[in-house]
Amino acid sequence: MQLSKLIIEPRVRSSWSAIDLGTLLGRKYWLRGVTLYLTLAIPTFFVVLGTGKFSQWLPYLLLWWFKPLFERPFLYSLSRELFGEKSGYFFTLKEFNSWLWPSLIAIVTLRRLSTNRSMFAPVSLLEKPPASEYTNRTSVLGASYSNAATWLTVVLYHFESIIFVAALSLLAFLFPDQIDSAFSWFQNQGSNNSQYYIVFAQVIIMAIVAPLYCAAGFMLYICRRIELEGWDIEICFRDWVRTQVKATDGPSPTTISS
Amino acid sequence: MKLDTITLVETPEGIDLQAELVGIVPRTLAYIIDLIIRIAIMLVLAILLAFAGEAGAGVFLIAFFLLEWWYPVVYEVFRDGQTPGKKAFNIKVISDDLTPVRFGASLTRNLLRTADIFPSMYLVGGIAIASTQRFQRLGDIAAGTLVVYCREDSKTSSELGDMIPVPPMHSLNEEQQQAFINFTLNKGQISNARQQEIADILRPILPDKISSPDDYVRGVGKWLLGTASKLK
Repeated sequence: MQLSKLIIEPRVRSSWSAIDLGTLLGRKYWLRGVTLYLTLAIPTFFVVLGTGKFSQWLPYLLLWWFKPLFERPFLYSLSRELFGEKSGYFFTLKEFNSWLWPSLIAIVTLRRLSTNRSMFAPVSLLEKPPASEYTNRTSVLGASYSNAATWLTVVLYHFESIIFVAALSLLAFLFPDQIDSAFSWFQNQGSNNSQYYIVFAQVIIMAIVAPLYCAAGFMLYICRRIELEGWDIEICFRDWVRTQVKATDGPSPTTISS
Repeated sequence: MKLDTITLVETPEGIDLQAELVGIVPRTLAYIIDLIIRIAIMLVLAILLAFAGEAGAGVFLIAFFLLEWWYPVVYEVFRDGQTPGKKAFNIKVISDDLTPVRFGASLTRNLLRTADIFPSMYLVGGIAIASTQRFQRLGDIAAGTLVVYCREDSKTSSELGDMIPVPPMHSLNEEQQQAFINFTLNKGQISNARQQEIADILRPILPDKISSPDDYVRGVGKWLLGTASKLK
C-alpha cells in the first residue's frame, strides 16, 4: 500500500462528501462494475429461476440476498485501482481466489443484513480480521460514518425501485396503447412467464446501481481510514521531507523513499 | 489529476476560489425533507379548508401552486440558497461563479424541475446529477447553478487545552500548514502510537534538539490556529 499512488485526493472529509467521492469513483469504473456484477448475477438468475414455482417472490429475494457476493469482484478491482494498480475485467475474474473466499459464508449470512454493509465489505474482503475481532473493528471504523452508510443503503435501494417504476412509466409514455400491459405487473402477478422478465429487468437495474453503491461504501471506508490514520498528513510530510532532503543533499536517500 | 469533489473557479483577478460539490445521495435526502415539509403543510391546509366549501378548494389550489413552485425559489433567494432540507444537510445553491444565487437563476432551475422529473420520479435529473462533471441536474445546467457544502468553522486554538504553541522553523506552504493543523485538531482520533509514527517522518529535517517530534508538530499546529484566528 503506497499512499503516494492514491488516485483520490486524500482529504479529511465529511461522511456525505465521502459518498460523493464514491459516486465519482463508481462512475469512472462504472462499465467494469456492471459487467463484473452481471458475470455473477446472470448465472445465478438462471439457477434461481426454478424456485419461482414455490413463490413468485423467491427468485428476486434470492438474488437480492446474494448481492454482497455479486459486488465483490468490483470491490476487489477498485481496491487495486485506488493505488494505481490496473485491474481490468479479465484480470479481476482471473484473481477470483483473492475475492471469492475471504469470509464468504459470513457475508451472505450474519453480515448480510447489516445496513452498513457497503462500508464494512472492505473489512471482510481486504482486512480479513478473525470473526471475534470483526465487531470491534467495525465499531472503531463506524464511529461518525455509519449513519451515512445506512442512509446510503436506504437511498440506493430506493433508486433501484425508482429506476424500475420510471422505466415502466417511460414505456407507458412511448407506447400509450400498451399502457395496461406495462403496469399489469402491479395488478395481477400472473402465472405466465412475465414475472421472469420482470426479475431479469430487476437484475439489470441492480447491476446499474451496484457500482455506485459499492464505490460509495468503499470510499466511506477509505475516508474514515484517512481520518483515523492521518494519511493526508503522512503524504504531505513525506513529500515535504523528500523535497527538502533533495534540495540540501542531492539525490534522495533510500531510507526516505522506502 | 486526483479524483476530488472540489470545483475550482478563477476570478477575473486571478484568484482561485473553490467549493465542495454535493452529490446525488445527500441531495436526494435534502429533497425528501423538503417534500415531507410541503406535504405536511398541504395536509393541514386541506383539512382546514375542507370546511370552507368551494371557495376553500380554490384557496387550496392557489396554496398548492405557491408551495409547489415558489417554496424553493423563495428560500433560495432570501435564505442564502438554503431550503429547510438543504439546511439540514448544510448545503446550499450558488451560481457557478460561486456568487449567491439570483432570482432569475433560481426561478429557472426550479421551473426546469419539469424536465428533470421526466418520465417520473426524477429519473432524468438523477441520471444528470450522476453523470455530469459538477453534479448538476438539467435545471442547474440551464440556470448555471451548483449545489455545494457550506464551510464549517474549524475549532479555535482555545479549545485545545494547555498545549504550548510553537512557531514553525520552516516556511510552510498552505498544504503543509493544513497538515500541521489537522494533526493538532486530530478529528479522526488518531492513536498516540500512530501520531508518533507520522511525526517521526519529519525527523530528517528537524534539528536534533527536538526530542519528541509529535509535540513539536502539535505545537506548531496550535500556533498556526492561533494566528489564523487572530487574522479573522
